[in-house]
Amino acid sequence: MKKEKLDRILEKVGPKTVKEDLAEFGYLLEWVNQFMKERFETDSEFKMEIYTILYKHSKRIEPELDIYFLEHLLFNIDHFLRKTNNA
Amino acid sequence: MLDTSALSPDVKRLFAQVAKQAEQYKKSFDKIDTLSKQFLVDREEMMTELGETRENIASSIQRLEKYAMDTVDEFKEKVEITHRLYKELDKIDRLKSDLFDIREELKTQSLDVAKTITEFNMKAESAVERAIAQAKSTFDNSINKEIERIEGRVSRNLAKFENTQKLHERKLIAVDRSIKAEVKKLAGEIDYVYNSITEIKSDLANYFKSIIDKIQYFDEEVPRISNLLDNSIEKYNHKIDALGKGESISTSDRIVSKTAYDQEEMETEESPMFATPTSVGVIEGEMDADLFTFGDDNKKSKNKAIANKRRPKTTEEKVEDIQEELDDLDQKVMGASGRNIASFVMSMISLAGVLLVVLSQVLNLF
Repeated sequence: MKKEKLDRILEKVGPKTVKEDLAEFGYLLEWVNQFMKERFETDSEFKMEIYTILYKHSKRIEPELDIYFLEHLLFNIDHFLRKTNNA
Repeated sequence: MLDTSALSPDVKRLFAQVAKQAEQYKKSFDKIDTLSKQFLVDREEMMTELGETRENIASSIQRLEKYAMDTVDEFKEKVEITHRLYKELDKIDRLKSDLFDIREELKTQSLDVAKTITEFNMKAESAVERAIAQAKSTFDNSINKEIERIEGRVSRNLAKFENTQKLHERKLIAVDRSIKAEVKKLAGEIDYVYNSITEIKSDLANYFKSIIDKIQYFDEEVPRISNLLDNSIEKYNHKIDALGKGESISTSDRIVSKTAYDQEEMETEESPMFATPTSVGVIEGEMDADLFTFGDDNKKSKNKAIANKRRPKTTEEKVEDIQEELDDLDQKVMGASGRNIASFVMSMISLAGVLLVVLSQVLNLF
C-alpha cells in the first residue's frame, strides 16, 4: 500500500496528533522553533510534514506558510519559465 | 478555491489565479501541441514537395546551366566579334584621320599645282604662240614647195595619161576593126547556113519526089513479084506431089527448077530498087558527104547500108529509114544554126568585156 493512501486512511480513522492539536491552536510553529528548530531547518521532509499539518489543521492565517507556498510557487513558475524558454 | 484557513486570502486568490492560468496554459499547450503536430504533418508534406521542387529546380538548373553555357558561348562569340569590330573601328578611325591628313595635303598640293599650272599655262601660251608662228612660216614654205612638186607631178601624169589615152584609142580602133571583121565573118557564116538550109530543103524536095517515084514503082512491081512467087510455089507444090507419088525425080528437073528459081531471084535482084543509084541515090551520097559529117552517124548509116545490102527490106522499113534520115537532117540543120548563133553571142560578149576593160583603165587614170 502506498504511503499516501495510508496517510489518507489514518487521517480519517486515526486519532489527532499533538502536532495537529498545536496547529489548531496556533502554536505548532512556536513549538517547532523552540524544540526542533535545527531539524526543521535541515530536514526538508520534516519541514514539509509540519507545513502540511498547518495547511490542514490551522484555524488562522500562517504567514510562514504563505511564504513557503509562494516560494514554492515561484520555484515552479521559474522552472516553468525556464522550460518554456528553452523549448 | 483552496479549502484551508492557513493561507491568506490574497495567496489563495493568487493560487486560484495561477490555477486558472495553468488551465489556460494547458489549453494553449494542447492547442500548440495539435498545431505542432499539424505543423509536423505540413512539414512532411512540405518536405516532400520541397524534394520534388528541388528535383525540378535541379533539372531546371541543369537546363538553365546549359542555356547559360550556350548563351555564354554565344555571348563570347559576340564579344569576340565586337572586339574585332572595335579593332576595325580603331583602324577605320586611324584611316579616317589619315584620310583627313591626306585631304589637307591634297588641298595644299592642289593649290600648289594650280599655281604651277597657271604659270605653266602662261609659259606654254607664249611658247605655243612662238611655235605657231614658226610652224606657220615653215608650213607656208613647205606647202609652197609641195604645191610646186604636185603641179610638176600632175603635169607629168597628164602627159602620161595622154600617151596612155592615145594607146588605148589605138587599141580600141584595132579591137573595133577586129570585131567588125568577126561580125562580117559571122554574117558570112550565117549566110552560108541559110544557103545550106535552102539547099537541104531543095534536096529534101527532090528526095521526097524520088521516094514517091519508088513507091509508085513498088506499087507496080509488087503484083508482078507476087505472081512470080505464086507460080514458083505452085511449081514446088507440083514437085512435092510428084515426089510423093512417083518417088523418082530426075536430077535434071531439079537443076531446071533450081535454075529457074535462080533466074527469078536474079531478076528480083536486078530490080530498080537494088540497082545502081539513081539521081536520088546520088543525092543521098551528096548528103552523106556534106551533112553526115559526124563519125557515129556515118558509121550507123554505113551499118544500115550494109544491113540493107545483106537482106532485102520491105517498103515499110524503107519508108521508116527515110523518115529517120529526114529527122537526122532536121536536127543537124538546127544544131548548125544554133552553134552559129551561140558563137555570134559569145563574140559579142567578148567584145563588150574588152570595151569594159578599156573604159576601166581610162577611168583609173583619172
